[in-house]
Amino acid sequence: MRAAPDQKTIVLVIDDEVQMRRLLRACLERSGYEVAEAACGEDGLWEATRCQPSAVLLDLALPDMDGLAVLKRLREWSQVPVLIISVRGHEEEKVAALDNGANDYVTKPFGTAELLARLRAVQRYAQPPKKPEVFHSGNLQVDLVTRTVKVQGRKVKLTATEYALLRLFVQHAGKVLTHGQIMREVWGADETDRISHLRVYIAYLRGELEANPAEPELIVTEPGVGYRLSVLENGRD
Amino acid sequence: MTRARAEITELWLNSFSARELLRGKRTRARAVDGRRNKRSRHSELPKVGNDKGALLQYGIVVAAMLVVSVLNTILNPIVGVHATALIYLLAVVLLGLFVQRGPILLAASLSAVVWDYFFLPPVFAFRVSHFEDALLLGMYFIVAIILGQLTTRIRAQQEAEREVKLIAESERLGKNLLDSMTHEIRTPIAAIKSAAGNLIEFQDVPLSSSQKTMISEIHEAVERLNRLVGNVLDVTRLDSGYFRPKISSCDVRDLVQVVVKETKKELAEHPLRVDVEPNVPLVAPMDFVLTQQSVMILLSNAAFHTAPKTPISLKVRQQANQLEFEVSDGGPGILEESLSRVFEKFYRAPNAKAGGTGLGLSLAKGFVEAQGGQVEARNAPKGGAVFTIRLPLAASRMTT
Repeated sequence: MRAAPDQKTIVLVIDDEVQMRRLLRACLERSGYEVAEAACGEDGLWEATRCQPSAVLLDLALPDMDGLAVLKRLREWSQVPVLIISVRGHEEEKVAALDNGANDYVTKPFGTAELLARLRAVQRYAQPPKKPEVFHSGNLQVDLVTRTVKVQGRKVKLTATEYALLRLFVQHAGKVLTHGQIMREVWGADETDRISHLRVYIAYLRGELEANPAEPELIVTEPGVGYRLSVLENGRD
Repeated sequence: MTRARAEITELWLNSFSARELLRGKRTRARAVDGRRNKRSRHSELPKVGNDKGALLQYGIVVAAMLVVSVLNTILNPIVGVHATALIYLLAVVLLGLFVQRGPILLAASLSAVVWDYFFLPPVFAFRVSHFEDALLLGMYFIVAIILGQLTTRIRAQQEAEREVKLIAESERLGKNLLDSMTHEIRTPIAAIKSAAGNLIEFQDVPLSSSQKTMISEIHEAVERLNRLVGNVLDVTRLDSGYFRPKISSCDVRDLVQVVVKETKKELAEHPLRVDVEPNVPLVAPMDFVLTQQSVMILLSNAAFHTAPKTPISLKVRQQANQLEFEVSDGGPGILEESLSRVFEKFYRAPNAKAGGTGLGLSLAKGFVEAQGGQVEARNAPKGGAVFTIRLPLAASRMTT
């Protein structure tokens, strides 16, 4: 029961555990992807140049080199979406992977449905086909050209910093942005003493945009890692 | 897989030997690492070498002085009395490279005395008749003392550096060991979960309801096993001493919101009341993830030990210079005999319902104490258990 064959894309799986590769292959092939495999970092990088995958599933514990090193070398020449699959799940590791260009992160053990959803998401958000001029999510509407922000159709006034923050989220909608990434983009390289500013501005922004700031649905906290602007379905027209 | 197993054994052995090496140095090692300034660290350093080594050094000094004296006796007629003093000084300088402050002072004193008595005219008398000779003797001591001081300081520095390196190495090995264990244990769990997931997602023939039940049993067991493994690994990490909380400014209300969201499933049958008092600051210094997990543990614990429909309440307030998270429930409370032991590892109250790991509360305690806070368990006067987490609000705790 394959999905439509015309949307068949190659996914490269870099994982040293043969059982994991077998299971991922089974799951991905059943979902209509074509699968390429590599058991170590060097093979993975070579395989990535050879088969030009549309997405890479990368395990961080590889026998020959650190998964982060693979990611860095891959990012030197390729913007292919990379989904990290790792057993460790420490926040520092997630942050390091995201800061080095990973698009998302799944911790083993993961559910099949979850993996497939994340894979679809990184493919969708990594290369938006055409930037829509107006971004929609739930009741939020952001026009990056005219710099207007509307909530439930009502115009919202934001300060310069709040808008810079929101624009960054909109440009990376659906993707987790680490605290470091946000602070670098919004406040510049001097980042470490800005974390409390970031917390405060996020709280302000939620106050302006969320229907219930105590239960935010748009700007979602990723504990210990950063924040993500979620793309809510009902907002898409 | 064999590779990984061999690696684990090796890592374990390595980290063990490193730990052996560090035994007794650990407490000081923590102080060294714990943001104390470098100078105070040096003053705390042990004297290099033990008593036996010190005695040996004194022996070496005396022997060396004897040899130099014999040499000087031979050379004295050729080079003159002041050159012999320089030869003594050279000997003291060279000794300074190898021995401690005490022995070097002995070397300086010995050579001064011997030179004065045997070489400096009038020979066989401790008289210094010329001002230059007195000056020379004085200088001699000053040079020896400064030299001894400098070499001791350099040696102490080297020792401190070696110790810091050793600690870093042991820490790295410990972390690698934990990572390898995590990898080895989690990989088969991931395989089971993935396989069970594939069974549900891709059904070639529709599954019977009993087959579906079996698969959901597998799912539940895998989740439980994974949680247990996670808890055990966390306990190990806490015990290892390599555990470092990452304290930074955190939005307290955001933390509460995440906690509520993440425990929704476990608290599905318990009405939860959340109350963040207005005096709670917007941001407070803490490790977001550790605090979040600790509060989540208290909430799931309350839900686990009380009947469905029992109300649970989470209150956050600022009390003096502390931030308090208080989780209370309308359940039967904690047995008097268990009250002092609920935070112990693997402790399970005699009336507790089966299924818990006995690790949750001990983890919460570890996570909170790692941040310099405290946990407390008591019974409310009106009944029900009350668990409190207190975190210091002082800004000095900020590390990032």
